[in-house]
Amino acid sequence: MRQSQSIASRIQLFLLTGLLVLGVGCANLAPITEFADISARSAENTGLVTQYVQFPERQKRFQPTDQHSRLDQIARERAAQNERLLLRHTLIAEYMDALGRLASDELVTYDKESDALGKANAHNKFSGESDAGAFGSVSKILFRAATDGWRQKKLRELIGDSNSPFQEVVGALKRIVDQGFAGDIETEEIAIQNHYQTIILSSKDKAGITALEEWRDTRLSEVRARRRAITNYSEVLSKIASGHRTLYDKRDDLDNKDLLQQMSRYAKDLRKLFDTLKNL
Amino acid sequence: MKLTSEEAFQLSRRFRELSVELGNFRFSKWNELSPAQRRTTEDAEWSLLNASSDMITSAVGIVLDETETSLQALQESTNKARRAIRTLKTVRKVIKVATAAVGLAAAIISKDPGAIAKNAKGLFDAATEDDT
Repeated sequence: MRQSQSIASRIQLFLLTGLLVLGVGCANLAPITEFADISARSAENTGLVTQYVQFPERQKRFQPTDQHSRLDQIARERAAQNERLLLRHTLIAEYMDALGRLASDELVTYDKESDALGKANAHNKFSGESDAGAFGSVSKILFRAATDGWRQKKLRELIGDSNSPFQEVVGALKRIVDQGFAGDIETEEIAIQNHYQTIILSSKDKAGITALEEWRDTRLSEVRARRRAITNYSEVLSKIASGHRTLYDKRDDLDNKDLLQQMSRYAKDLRKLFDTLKNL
Repeated sequence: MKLTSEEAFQLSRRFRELSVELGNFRFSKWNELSPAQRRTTEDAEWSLLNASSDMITSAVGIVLDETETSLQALQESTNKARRAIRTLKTVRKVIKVATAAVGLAAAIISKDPGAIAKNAKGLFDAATEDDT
């Protein structure tokens, strides 16, 4: 019994010392997790890559057959790029997922385990029943304070080390979206106009011409919907890059209130854009 | 001389613009052009349009090549973050092990062989539990 009491007093001393050494301030980085989560989900959307790879096949509908072998060649080259393009999406999503999990407070919250440890102490008479609750409460703070500091250091290092390659990879994907995928859309519009206008000008059937004009307008409206999706996806990539740059600039003060409010705004903007990507 | 991605994108735009200009010419002079002239112009339009698509494909390939090093660096950062997450999960496991160890310590102090065996198994389970 004397041994149990000795252990109990040592535990109390340990907890008290720990609290004094670590301080009790724990960060709530939930807005960073929110931003990272929605960024990861947005980056996972690969509909535009599929459209890019399938573009030559769609073009066959509008282009003369003597151009089809050339379109097949472009299709083969794009199919070979498919995996590398998807890898960019996957890696951005995986990085943001890891960033979000590291920023998640759940990772440094040990409430359930601390309660169990407190109960085990009380049950085994290393502390009194009345001390068990206090032990649980203090150890929750203590474990979290100890791990939170380390977690924040790792987050700082992660954001610091990865900002430059992250901006490069996201920036490159944005250039592909803005100039490559958007360029395809312009080509599609031109091809549709050329295809239908040539038939319309060659025709003398007024009813047929009206029907063709309707078809052309339907095709063009489909393409314009895709153009809007491309614009939105480009905006998503801008927000992700800009949000990460903000984190990088403030990485030494991650629990700063202004920073966390900014991250909440980024998350909110991304959620709005995310809803528009569902049709991709 | 190798093209940069920016130059390839610029060329793709230029080919597309030329194709549009030819198309505008063909449609605006439709009645003045012979069917053969229309056909020749139209062929040139499609060729230019596909040259534009070719250039886009090349430009995308160049962008992918240009960012290969950054991609690997980002992969490494992601792996480091995952290792840090695993370490924090280990802390949870350590507390569970400590909880089980408290029971074992009490059993040893009480010199109860049954309780020692039971708590030793509990400690072993906590230590070997999968924390993923």
